[in-house]
Amino acid sequence: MTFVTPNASKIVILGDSGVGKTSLALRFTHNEFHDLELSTVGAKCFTKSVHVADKDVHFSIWDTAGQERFQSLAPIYYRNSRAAIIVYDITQKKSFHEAERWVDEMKRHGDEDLVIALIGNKSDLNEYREVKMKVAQEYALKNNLIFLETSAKTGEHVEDLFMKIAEMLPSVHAKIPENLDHNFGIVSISKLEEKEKRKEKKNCC
Amino acid sequence: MKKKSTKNQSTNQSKNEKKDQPNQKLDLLLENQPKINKNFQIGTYLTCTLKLSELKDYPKKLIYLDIKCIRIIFAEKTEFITKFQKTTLQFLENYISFLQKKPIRNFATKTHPIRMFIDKLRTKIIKKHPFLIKYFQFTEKIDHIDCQEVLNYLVERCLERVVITPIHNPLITSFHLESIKEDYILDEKMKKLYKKPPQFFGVANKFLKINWESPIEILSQFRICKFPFEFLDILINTADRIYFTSKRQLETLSQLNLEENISKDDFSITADGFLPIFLYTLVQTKLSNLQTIQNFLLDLSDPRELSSEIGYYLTTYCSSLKFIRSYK
Repeated sequence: MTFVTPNASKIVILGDSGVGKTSLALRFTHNEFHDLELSTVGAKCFTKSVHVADKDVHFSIWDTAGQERFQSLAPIYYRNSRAAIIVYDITQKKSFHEAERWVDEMKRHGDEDLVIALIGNKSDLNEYREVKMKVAQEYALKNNLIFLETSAKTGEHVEDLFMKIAEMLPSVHAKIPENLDHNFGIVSISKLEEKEKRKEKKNCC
Repeated sequence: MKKKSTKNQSTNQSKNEKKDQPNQKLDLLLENQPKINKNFQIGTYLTCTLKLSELKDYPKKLIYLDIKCIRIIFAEKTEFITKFQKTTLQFLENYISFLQKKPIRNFATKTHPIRMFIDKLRTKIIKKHPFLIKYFQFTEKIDHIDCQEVLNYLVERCLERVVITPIHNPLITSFHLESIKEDYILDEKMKKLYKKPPQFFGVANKFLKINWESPIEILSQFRICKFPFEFLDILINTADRIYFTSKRQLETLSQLNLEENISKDDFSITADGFLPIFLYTLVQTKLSNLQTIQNFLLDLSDPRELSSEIGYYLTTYCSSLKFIRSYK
Protein backbone atom coordinates (compact mmCIF):
# COMPACT_ATOMS: atom_id res chain seq x y z
CA MET A 1 0.00 0.00 0.00
CA THR A 2 1.45 3.33 -1.02
CA PHE A 3 0.07 6.66 0.11
CA VAL A 4 -0.65 9.65 -2.08
CA THR A 5 2.38 11.71 -3.09
CA PRO A 6 1.22 15.33 -3.15
CA ASN A 7 1.58 17.01 -6.56
CA ALA A 8 2.89 13.87 -8.20
CA SER A 9 3.10 14.08 -11.98
CA LYS A 10 1.47 11.14 -13.67
CA ILE A 11 3.56 9.45 -16.34
CA VAL A 12 2.11 6.71 -18.50
CA ILE A 13 4.27 4.08 -20.21
CA LEU A 14 2.95 2.83 -23.54
CA GLY A 15 4.25 0.42 -26.13
CA ASP A 16 3.93 -3.02 -27.63
CA SER A 17 3.80 -6.09 -25.42
CA GLY A 18 7.24 -7.29 -24.32
CA VAL A 19 9.27 -4.17 -25.18
CA GLY A 20 10.36 -3.75 -21.55
CA LYS A 21 7.92 -1.16 -20.14
CA THR A 22 7.81 -2.68 -16.65
CA SER A 23 11.57 -3.29 -16.62
CA LEU A 24 12.21 0.34 -17.51
CA ALA A 25 10.01 1.56 -14.66
CA LEU A 26 11.58 -0.94 -12.26
CA ARG A 27 15.11 0.10 -13.22
CA PHE A 28 14.29 3.73 -12.57
CA THR A 29 12.34 3.30 -9.33
CA HIS A 30 14.15 0.34 -7.73
CA ASN A 31 17.39 0.27 -9.74
CA GLU A 32 16.73 -3.38 -10.50
CA PHE A 33 16.14 -5.31 -13.68
CA HIS A 34 14.27 -8.43 -12.62
CA ASP A 35 12.55 -7.88 -9.33
CA LEU A 36 11.62 -11.20 -7.81
CA GLU A 37 9.68 -9.39 -5.13
CA LEU A 38 7.19 -8.09 -7.68
CA SER A 39 4.49 -10.00 -5.84
CA THR A 40 4.05 -7.02 -3.56
CA VAL A 41 1.26 -4.67 -4.58
CA GLY A 42 2.50 -1.54 -6.29
CA ALA A 43 4.26 -3.25 -9.13
CA LYS A 44 2.12 -1.57 -11.79
CA CYS A 45 2.14 1.89 -10.33
CA PHE A 46 5.58 3.11 -9.36
CA THR A 47 6.54 6.27 -7.52
CA LYS A 48 9.82 8.14 -7.40
CA SER A 49 11.10 11.67 -6.95
CA VAL A 50 13.97 13.43 -8.71
CA HIS A 51 15.63 16.71 -7.90
CA VAL A 52 15.75 19.12 -10.85
CA ALA A 53 16.55 22.84 -10.83
CA ASP A 54 16.27 23.09 -7.02
CA LYS A 55 12.90 21.40 -7.07
CA ASP A 56 11.68 17.95 -6.09
CA VAL A 57 9.64 16.47 -8.89
CA HIS A 58 7.46 13.52 -7.87
CA PHE A 59 6.49 10.92 -10.43
CA SER A 60 3.61 8.47 -10.36
CA ILE A 61 4.46 6.05 -13.17
CA TRP A 62 1.63 3.98 -14.65
CA ASP A 63 2.46 0.83 -16.54
CA THR A 64 -0.02 -0.34 -19.20
CA ALA A 65 -0.88 -3.53 -21.05
CA GLY A 66 0.57 -3.41 -24.57
CA GLN A 67 -1.47 -6.15 -26.28
CA GLU A 68 -3.38 -5.08 -29.37
CA ARG A 69 -6.73 -6.18 -27.91
CA PHE A 70 -6.33 -3.71 -25.04
CA GLN A 71 -5.35 -0.68 -27.14
CA SER A 72 -8.82 0.82 -26.92
CA LEU A 73 -8.52 0.85 -23.12
CA ALA A 74 -5.38 3.00 -23.12
CA PRO A 75 -7.18 6.41 -23.03
CA ILE A 76 -8.53 5.52 -19.57
CA TYR A 77 -4.94 5.10 -18.38
CA TYR A 78 -3.34 8.11 -20.07
CA ARG A 79 -6.07 10.56 -19.05
CA ASN A 80 -4.62 13.42 -16.97
CA SER A 81 -1.03 12.32 -17.49
CA ARG A 82 1.72 14.92 -17.73
CA ALA A 83 4.08 12.78 -19.77
CA ALA A 84 3.96 9.69 -21.95
CA ILE A 85 6.90 7.36 -22.44
CA ILE A 86 6.44 5.43 -25.65
CA VAL A 87 8.71 2.42 -25.73
CA TYR A 88 9.84 0.20 -28.60
CA ASP A 89 12.31 -2.64 -28.76
CA ILE A 90 15.30 -1.81 -31.02
CA THR A 91 15.44 -5.49 -32.04
CA GLN A 92 11.83 -5.50 -33.30
CA LYS A 93 10.82 -3.27 -36.20
CA LYS A 94 7.13 -4.03 -35.57
CA SER A 95 7.36 -2.47 -32.12
CA PHE A 96 8.72 0.76 -33.68
CA HIS A 97 5.74 1.01 -36.02
CA GLU A 98 3.51 0.44 -33.00
CA ALA A 99 5.36 3.27 -31.21
CA GLU A 100 4.68 5.56 -34.18
CA ARG A 101 0.99 4.76 -33.83
CA TRP A 102 1.13 5.63 -30.13
CA VAL A 103 2.83 8.93 -30.90
CA ASP A 104 0.04 9.81 -33.34
CA GLU A 105 -2.60 8.90 -30.78
CA MET A 106 -0.99 10.91 -28.00
CA LYS A 107 -0.56 13.91 -30.31
CA ARG A 108 -4.24 13.74 -31.16
CA HIS A 109 -5.75 12.90 -27.79
CA GLY A 110 -3.18 13.89 -25.17
CA ASP A 111 -3.19 17.21 -23.31
CA GLU A 112 -1.66 20.18 -25.12
CA ASP A 113 1.38 20.40 -22.83
CA LEU A 114 1.90 16.63 -22.68
CA VAL A 115 5.59 15.71 -22.76
CA ILE A 116 6.21 12.76 -25.07
CA ALA A 117 9.35 10.63 -25.00
CA LEU A 118 10.21 8.01 -27.61
CA ILE A 119 12.41 5.31 -26.13
CA GLY A 120 14.30 2.58 -27.96
CA ASN A 121 14.82 -0.03 -25.27
CA LYS A 122 17.16 -3.06 -25.15
CA SER A 123 20.17 -1.08 -26.40
CA ASP A 124 22.35 -3.81 -24.89
CA LEU A 125 21.19 -6.10 -27.73
CA ASN A 126 22.80 -3.98 -30.44
CA GLU A 127 23.88 -6.99 -32.51
CA TYR A 128 20.21 -7.89 -33.09
CA ARG A 129 19.17 -4.33 -33.96
CA GLU A 130 16.33 -3.94 -36.47
CA VAL A 131 15.55 -0.25 -35.93
CA LYS A 132 18.29 2.16 -36.92
CA MET A 133 19.01 4.82 -34.34
CA LYS A 134 19.16 7.52 -37.03
CA VAL A 135 15.65 6.67 -38.30
CA ALA A 136 14.14 6.90 -34.82
CA GLN A 137 16.11 10.06 -34.02
CA GLU A 138 14.88 11.81 -37.16
CA TYR A 139 11.31 10.75 -36.45
CA ALA A 140 11.58 12.09 -32.89
CA LEU A 141 13.07 15.39 -34.10
CA LYS A 142 10.32 15.80 -36.67
CA ASN A 143 7.63 15.23 -34.05
CA ASN A 144 9.28 17.23 -31.27
CA LEU A 145 9.81 14.26 -28.96
CA ILE A 146 12.43 13.45 -26.36
CA PHE A 147 14.49 10.59 -27.80
CA LEU A 148 16.83 8.17 -26.09
CA GLU A 149 17.97 4.61 -26.45
CA THR A 150 17.97 2.84 -23.11
CA SER A 151 18.75 -0.50 -21.59
CA ALA A 152 16.64 -1.49 -18.63
CA LYS A 153 19.05 -4.41 -18.21
CA THR A 154 22.21 -2.33 -17.76
CA GLY A 155 20.49 0.88 -16.67
CA GLU A 156 21.96 2.88 -19.57
CA HIS A 157 20.22 6.28 -19.98
CA VAL A 158 17.25 5.28 -17.81
CA GLU A 159 17.93 7.96 -15.18
CA ASP A 160 18.62 10.49 -17.99
CA LEU A 161 15.20 9.79 -19.47
CA PHE A 162 13.31 10.72 -16.31
CA MET A 163 15.56 13.71 -15.64
CA LYS A 164 14.81 15.01 -19.14
CA ILE A 165 11.10 14.53 -18.59
CA ALA A 166 11.30 16.35 -15.25
CA GLU A 167 13.07 19.28 -16.94
CA MET A 168 10.39 19.48 -19.62
CA LEU A 169 7.38 19.37 -17.30
CA PRO A 170 5.55 22.64 -16.74
CA SER A 171 7.06 23.91 -13.49
CA VAL A 172 3.84 25.29 -12.05
CA HIS A 173 1.72 22.62 -10.41
CA ALA A 174 -2.00 23.06 -10.06
CA LYS A 175 -2.78 24.39 -6.60
CA ILE A 176 -5.61 23.07 -4.45
CA PRO A 177 -7.78 26.02 -3.31
CA GLU A 178 -7.36 26.66 0.39
CA ASN A 179 -10.08 29.25 0.98
CA LEU A 180 -12.28 26.97 3.02
CA ASP A 181 -15.58 28.30 4.22
CA HIS A 182 -16.62 27.71 7.81
CA ASN A 183 -19.96 26.06 7.18
CA PHE A 184 -18.42 22.87 5.85
CA GLY A 185 -19.69 23.14 2.29
CA ILE A 186 -23.27 24.25 3.01
CA VAL A 187 -22.66 27.40 0.97
CA SER A 188 -21.46 25.24 -1.84
CA ILE A 189 -24.88 23.65 -2.26
CA SER A 190 -26.51 27.04 -2.74
CA LYS A 191 -23.80 27.90 -5.27
CA LEU A 192 -24.58 24.74 -7.16
CA GLU A 193 -28.27 25.57 -7.07
CA GLU A 194 -27.49 28.96 -8.58
CA LYS A 195 -25.51 27.28 -11.34
CA GLU A 196 -28.40 24.92 -12.05
CA LYS A 197 -30.80 27.88 -12.22
CA ARG A 198 -28.52 29.70 -14.63
CA LYS A 199 -28.33 26.61 -16.82
CA GLU A 200 -32.09 26.26 -16.84
CA LYS A 201 -32.54 29.92 -17.79
CA LYS A 202 -30.12 29.44 -20.66
CA ASN A 203 -32.01 26.37 -21.81
CA CYS A 204 -35.31 28.29 -21.65
CA CYS A 205 -33.96 30.99 -23.94
CA MET B 1 -40.61 -36.06 -13.69
CA LYS B 2 -37.21 -34.88 -14.66
CA LYS B 3 -38.56 -33.35 -17.85
CA LYS B 4 -41.20 -31.48 -15.87
CA SER B 5 -38.67 -30.07 -13.43
CA THR B 6 -36.44 -28.85 -16.24
CA LYS B 7 -39.46 -27.24 -17.86
CA ASN B 8 -40.32 -25.55 -14.59
CA GLN B 9 -36.74 -24.40 -14.23
CA SER B 10 -36.71 -22.89 -17.68
CA THR B 11 -40.01 -21.07 -17.08
CA ASN B 12 -38.68 -19.80 -13.76
CA GLN B 13 -35.55 -18.64 -15.49
CA SER B 14 -37.48 -16.76 -18.12
CA LYS B 15 -39.60 -15.18 -15.37
CA ASN B 16 -36.47 -14.10 -13.53
CA GLU B 17 -35.04 -12.71 -16.71
CA LYS B 18 -38.19 -10.68 -17.21
CA LYS B 19 -37.91 -9.40 -13.66
CA ASP B 20 -34.43 -8.21 -14.44
CA GLN B 21 -35.63 -6.02 -17.30
CA PRO B 22 -34.45 -2.43 -16.73
CA ASN B 23 -37.94 -0.91 -16.64
CA GLN B 24 -39.18 -3.16 -13.87
CA LYS B 25 -35.99 -2.62 -11.92
CA LEU B 26 -36.52 1.10 -12.34
CA ASP B 27 -40.00 0.89 -10.79
CA LEU B 28 -38.62 -0.99 -7.82
CA LEU B 29 -35.92 1.58 -7.32
CA LEU B 30 -38.30 4.51 -7.60
CA GLU B 31 -40.18 3.19 -4.59
CA ASN B 32 -37.20 4.17 -2.46
CA GLN B 33 -37.85 7.82 -1.75
CA PRO B 34 -34.84 9.80 -0.57
CA LYS B 35 -34.97 9.87 3.20
CA ILE B 36 -32.40 10.87 5.71
CA ASN B 37 -31.87 8.74 8.75
CA LYS B 38 -31.93 11.44 11.42
CA ASN B 39 -31.44 9.05 14.30
CA PHE B 40 -27.87 8.30 13.48
CA GLN B 41 -25.23 9.04 16.08
CA ILE B 42 -21.82 10.09 14.88
CA GLY B 43 -20.26 8.21 17.77
CA THR B 44 -21.77 4.92 16.61
CA TYR B 45 -20.03 5.11 13.27
CA LEU B 46 -16.78 6.20 14.76
CA THR B 47 -16.66 3.41 17.28
CA CYS B 48 -17.25 1.02 14.38
CA THR B 49 -13.82 1.90 13.08
CA LEU B 50 -12.31 0.68 16.33
CA LYS B 51 -13.44 -2.88 15.72
CA LEU B 52 -10.34 -4.90 15.03
CA SER B 53 -12.30 -7.44 13.01
CA GLU B 54 -12.96 -4.77 10.40
CA LEU B 55 -9.35 -3.80 10.28
CA LYS B 56 -7.92 -7.28 9.76
CA ASP B 57 -6.73 -6.53 6.25
CA TYR B 58 -4.82 -3.41 7.23
CA PRO B 59 -1.08 -3.55 7.54
CA LYS B 60 -0.27 -4.20 11.23
CA LYS B 61 1.29 -0.82 11.83
CA LEU B 62 -1.72 0.90 10.41
CA ILE B 63 -4.17 -0.87 12.72
CA TYR B 64 -2.28 0.61 15.60
CA LEU B 65 -2.20 4.04 14.02
CA ASP B 66 -5.86 3.93 13.10
CA ILE B 67 -7.00 3.28 16.64
CA LYS B 68 -4.69 5.90 18.09
CA CYS B 69 -5.71 8.47 15.52
CA ILE B 70 -9.41 8.05 16.08
CA ARG B 71 -9.00 8.15 19.84
CA ILE B 72 -7.13 11.40 19.59
CA ILE B 73 -9.39 13.11 17.12
CA PHE B 74 -12.76 12.09 18.43
CA ALA B 75 -12.93 10.10 21.62
CA GLU B 76 -11.02 12.62 23.71
CA LYS B 77 -12.71 15.67 22.24
CA THR B 78 -16.37 15.46 23.11
CA GLU B 79 -16.91 19.15 22.37
CA PHE B 80 -15.64 18.62 18.90
CA ILE B 81 -17.92 15.62 18.37
CA THR B 82 -20.99 17.68 19.29
CA LYS B 83 -20.03 20.47 16.88
CA PHE B 84 -19.03 17.98 14.25
CA GLN B 85 -22.32 16.07 14.51
CA LYS B 86 -24.35 19.28 14.33
CA THR B 87 -22.51 20.48 11.24
CA THR B 88 -22.79 17.11 9.53
CA LEU B 89 -26.50 16.84 10.22
CA GLN B 90 -27.06 20.36 8.95
CA PHE B 91 -25.20 19.57 5.77
CA LEU B 92 -27.10 16.32 5.24
CA GLU B 93 -30.48 17.99 5.74
CA ASN B 94 -29.56 20.71 3.27
CA TYR B 95 -28.30 18.17 0.85
CA ILE B 96 -31.45 16.04 0.94
CA SER B 97 -33.70 19.08 0.47
CA PHE B 98 -31.44 20.11 -2.43
CA LEU B 99 -32.04 16.71 -4.04
CA GLN B 100 -35.77 16.78 -3.43
CA LYS B 101 -36.42 20.24 -4.85
CA LYS B 102 -36.39 19.30 -8.50
CA PRO B 103 -34.78 16.77 -10.79
CA ILE B 104 -31.21 17.80 -11.41
CA ARG B 105 -30.11 17.16 -14.93
CA ASN B 106 -26.40 16.88 -14.31
CA PHE B 107 -25.75 13.89 -12.10
CA ALA B 108 -22.26 15.06 -11.11
CA THR B 109 -23.90 18.17 -9.62
CA LYS B 110 -25.88 15.88 -7.37
CA THR B 111 -22.93 14.17 -5.78
CA HIS B 112 -20.41 16.98 -5.93
CA PRO B 113 -21.50 18.59 -2.63
CA ILE B 114 -20.85 15.38 -0.69
CA ARG B 115 -17.34 15.03 -1.96
CA MET B 116 -16.68 18.72 -1.38
CA PHE B 117 -18.04 18.51 2.16
CA ILE B 118 -15.80 15.55 3.02
CA ASP B 119 -12.72 17.23 1.50
CA LYS B 120 -13.25 20.46 3.38
CA LEU B 121 -14.04 18.77 6.64
CA ARG B 122 -10.98 16.57 6.38
CA THR B 123 -8.70 19.51 5.70
CA LYS B 124 -10.30 21.41 8.55
CA ILE B 125 -9.89 18.58 11.06
CA ILE B 126 -6.24 18.15 10.19
CA LYS B 127 -5.56 21.89 10.21
CA LYS B 128 -7.29 22.37 13.54
CA HIS B 129 -5.30 19.63 15.18
CA PRO B 130 -1.67 20.25 14.23
CA PHE B 131 -0.54 18.20 17.21
CA LEU B 132 -1.71 15.10 15.34
CA ILE B 133 1.03 15.46 12.79
CA LYS B 134 3.57 16.03 15.53
CA TYR B 135 2.24 12.98 17.30
CA PHE B 136 2.86 10.83 14.25
CA GLN B 137 6.23 12.35 13.59
CA PHE B 138 7.63 11.83 17.03
CA THR B 139 5.99 8.69 18.33
CA GLU B 140 5.65 6.61 15.20
CA LYS B 141 8.51 6.17 12.81
CA ILE B 142 7.27 4.48 9.70
CA ASP B 143 9.66 4.12 6.82
CA HIS B 144 8.91 6.08 3.65
CA ILE B 145 5.43 7.15 4.74
CA ASP B 146 4.40 10.77 4.84
CA CYS B 147 2.67 11.37 8.21
CA GLN B 148 0.39 14.00 6.70
CA GLU B 149 -0.80 11.46 4.15
CA VAL B 150 -1.40 8.75 6.76
CA LEU B 151 -3.55 11.22 8.64
CA ASN B 152 -5.44 12.21 5.49
CA TYR B 153 -6.02 8.55 4.73
CA LEU B 154 -7.39 7.77 8.19
CA VAL B 155 -9.59 10.85 8.54
CA GLU B 156 -10.99 10.27 5.05
CA ARG B 157 -12.14 6.80 6.14
CA CYS B 158 -13.85 8.15 9.23
CA LEU B 159 -15.60 10.89 7.27
CA GLU B 160 -16.85 8.63 4.50
CA ARG B 161 -18.53 6.50 7.17
CA VAL B 162 -19.97 9.51 8.97
CA VAL B 163 -21.28 11.40 5.94
CA ILE B 164 -22.36 8.58 3.64
CA THR B 165 -23.99 6.22 6.15
CA PRO B 166 -27.16 8.25 6.85
CA ILE B 167 -27.82 8.91 3.15
CA HIS B 168 -26.45 5.70 1.72
CA ASN B 169 -29.79 4.27 0.55
CA PRO B 170 -31.07 7.30 -1.39
CA LEU B 171 -27.58 7.91 -2.72
CA ILE B 172 -27.05 4.41 -4.06
CA THR B 173 -30.58 4.48 -5.50
CA SER B 174 -29.70 7.64 -7.45
CA PHE B 175 -26.59 5.96 -8.80
CA HIS B 176 -28.63 2.89 -9.77
CA LEU B 177 -31.17 5.00 -11.61
CA GLU B 178 -28.45 6.87 -13.41
CA SER B 179 -26.79 3.74 -14.80
CA ILE B 180 -29.59 1.21 -14.94
CA LYS B 181 -29.25 0.55 -18.66
CA GLU B 182 -25.48 0.23 -18.58
CA ASP B 183 -25.75 -2.12 -15.60
CA TYR B 184 -28.19 -4.29 -17.50
CA ILE B 185 -25.94 -4.48 -20.55
CA LEU B 186 -22.93 -5.34 -18.41
CA ASP B 187 -24.87 -7.98 -16.47
CA GLU B 188 -25.87 -9.68 -19.72
CA LYS B 189 -22.34 -9.60 -21.12
CA MET B 190 -20.86 -10.84 -17.83
CA LYS B 191 -23.18 -13.87 -18.05
CA LYS B 192 -21.94 -14.63 -21.56
CA LEU B 193 -18.28 -14.12 -20.68
CA TYR B 194 -18.48 -16.24 -17.53
CA LYS B 195 -18.03 -19.47 -19.47
CA LYS B 196 -15.01 -18.24 -21.40
CA PRO B 197 -11.61 -19.71 -20.46
CA PRO B 198 -8.73 -17.52 -19.21
CA GLN B 199 -7.10 -17.70 -22.68
CA PHE B 200 -10.04 -15.77 -24.09
CA PHE B 201 -9.08 -12.75 -21.97
CA GLY B 202 -5.45 -13.02 -23.03
CA VAL B 203 -4.08 -14.65 -19.87
CA ALA B 204 -0.51 -15.71 -20.71
CA ASN B 205 0.28 -19.42 -21.07
CA LYS B 206 2.47 -19.53 -17.97
CA PHE B 207 -0.52 -18.52 -15.79
CA LEU B 208 -3.00 -21.02 -17.23
CA LYS B 209 -2.42 -23.69 -14.59
CA ILE B 210 -3.04 -21.23 -11.76
CA ASN B 211 -6.20 -21.43 -9.69
CA TRP B 212 -7.55 -17.89 -9.25
CA GLU B 213 -10.23 -18.81 -6.72
CA SER B 214 -8.70 -16.75 -3.95
CA PRO B 215 -8.63 -13.35 -5.76
CA ILE B 216 -12.12 -14.10 -7.15
CA GLU B 217 -13.37 -14.62 -3.60
CA ILE B 218 -11.84 -11.32 -2.47
CA LEU B 219 -13.24 -9.30 -5.37
CA SER B 220 -16.68 -10.85 -4.74
CA GLN B 221 -16.73 -8.94 -1.45
CA PHE B 222 -17.78 -5.90 -3.52
CA ARG B 223 -21.30 -7.15 -2.75
CA ILE B 224 -20.98 -6.20 0.90
CA CYS B 225 -19.10 -2.91 0.47
CA LYS B 226 -20.80 0.31 1.38
CA PHE B 227 -18.26 3.14 1.33
CA PRO B 228 -15.84 4.15 -1.44
CA PHE B 229 -12.80 3.32 0.67
CA GLU B 230 -14.14 -0.21 1.25
CA PHE B 231 -14.42 -0.83 -2.49
CA LEU B 232 -10.95 0.56 -3.07
CA ASP B 233 -9.50 -1.63 -0.31
CA ILE B 234 -11.03 -4.65 -2.01
CA LEU B 235 -9.47 -3.65 -5.34
CA ILE B 236 -6.04 -3.34 -3.73
CA ASN B 237 -6.47 -6.64 -1.86
CA THR B 238 -7.54 -8.39 -5.07
CA ALA B 239 -4.47 -7.12 -6.92
CA ASP B 240 -2.32 -8.16 -3.97
CA ARG B 241 -3.81 -11.65 -4.01
CA ILE B 242 -3.35 -12.00 -7.78
CA TYR B 243 0.38 -11.31 -7.41
CA PHE B 244 0.66 -13.54 -4.36
CA THR B 245 -1.32 -16.45 -5.85
CA SER B 246 0.61 -16.42 -9.11
CA LYS B 247 3.99 -16.27 -7.40
CA ARG B 248 3.17 -18.99 -4.85
CA GLN B 249 1.61 -21.39 -7.36
CA LEU B 250 4.28 -20.88 -10.03
CA GLU B 251 6.95 -21.56 -7.43
CA THR B 252 5.19 -24.77 -6.41
CA LEU B 253 4.73 -25.86 -10.04
CA SER B 254 8.37 -25.12 -10.73
CA GLN B 255 9.49 -27.13 -7.67
CA LEU B 256 7.38 -30.07 -8.78
CA ASN B 257 8.87 -29.69 -12.29
CA LEU B 258 5.37 -29.49 -13.73
CA GLU B 259 6.18 -26.26 -15.49
CA GLU B 260 9.58 -26.80 -17.08
CA ASN B 261 9.84 -23.60 -19.03
CA ILE B 262 9.40 -21.23 -16.10
CA SER B 263 12.44 -19.41 -14.83
CA LYS B 264 12.46 -17.57 -11.49
CA ASP B 265 12.19 -14.25 -13.30
CA ASP B 266 8.84 -15.32 -14.75
CA PHE B 267 7.12 -15.51 -11.36
CA SER B 268 6.35 -11.82 -11.58
CA ILE B 269 3.39 -10.26 -13.41
CA THR B 270 3.88 -7.20 -15.59
CA ALA B 271 1.05 -4.87 -16.66
CA ASP B 272 0.77 -6.96 -19.87
CA GLY B 273 -0.04 -9.96 -17.70
CA PHE B 274 -2.06 -8.30 -14.96
CA LEU B 275 -4.97 -6.80 -16.94
CA PRO B 276 -6.11 -10.11 -18.54
CA ILE B 277 -5.96 -11.87 -15.15
CA PHE B 278 -7.93 -9.09 -13.48
CA LEU B 279 -10.51 -9.24 -16.28
CA TYR B 280 -10.91 -13.00 -15.87
CA THR B 281 -11.18 -12.58 -12.09
CA LEU B 282 -13.85 -9.89 -12.42
CA VAL B 283 -15.95 -11.94 -14.84
CA GLN B 284 -15.77 -14.97 -12.55
CA THR B 285 -17.21 -13.02 -9.60
CA LYS B 286 -20.65 -12.78 -11.31
CA LEU B 287 -20.98 -9.32 -9.76
CA SER B 288 -23.84 -7.13 -10.91
CA ASN B 289 -24.38 -3.34 -10.98
CA LEU B 290 -20.80 -2.85 -12.13
CA GLN B 291 -21.49 0.53 -13.76
CA THR B 292 -23.19 1.81 -10.59
CA ILE B 293 -20.09 0.84 -8.60
CA GLN B 294 -17.83 2.59 -11.11
CA ASN B 295 -19.83 5.83 -11.02
CA PHE B 296 -20.12 5.68 -7.23
CA LEU B 297 -16.34 5.33 -6.89
CA LEU B 298 -15.40 7.94 -9.48
CA ASP B 299 -17.75 10.51 -7.96
CA LEU B 300 -17.21 9.87 -4.27
CA SER B 301 -13.65 8.59 -3.83
CA ASP B 302 -11.01 10.92 -2.50
CA PRO B 303 -9.82 12.67 -5.70
CA ARG B 304 -6.29 12.88 -4.30
CA GLU B 305 -6.12 9.08 -4.44
CA LEU B 306 -6.95 8.89 -8.13
CA SER B 307 -3.39 9.54 -9.30
CA SER B 308 -1.90 7.07 -6.83
CA GLU B 309 -1.77 3.29 -6.66
CA ILE B 310 -5.44 3.13 -5.65
CA GLY B 311 -6.28 5.20 -8.72
CA TYR B 312 -4.32 2.79 -10.87
CA TYR B 313 -6.39 -0.19 -9.76
CA LEU B 314 -9.62 1.78 -10.05
CA THR B 315 -8.57 2.63 -13.62
CA THR B 316 -7.96 -1.08 -14.23
CA TYR B 317 -11.50 -1.76 -13.00
CA CYS B 318 -12.93 0.95 -15.31
CA SER B 319 -10.99 -0.35 -18.30
CA SER B 320 -12.21 -3.88 -17.56
CA LEU B 321 -15.79 -2.64 -17.76
CA LYS B 322 -15.02 -1.03 -21.10
CA PHE B 323 -13.64 -4.35 -22.34
CA ILE B 324 -16.74 -6.25 -21.15
CA ARG B 325 -19.06 -3.66 -22.68
CA SER B 326 -17.33 -3.98 -26.06
CA TYR B 327 -17.75 -7.78 -26.16
CA LYS B 328 -19.98 -8.87 -29.03
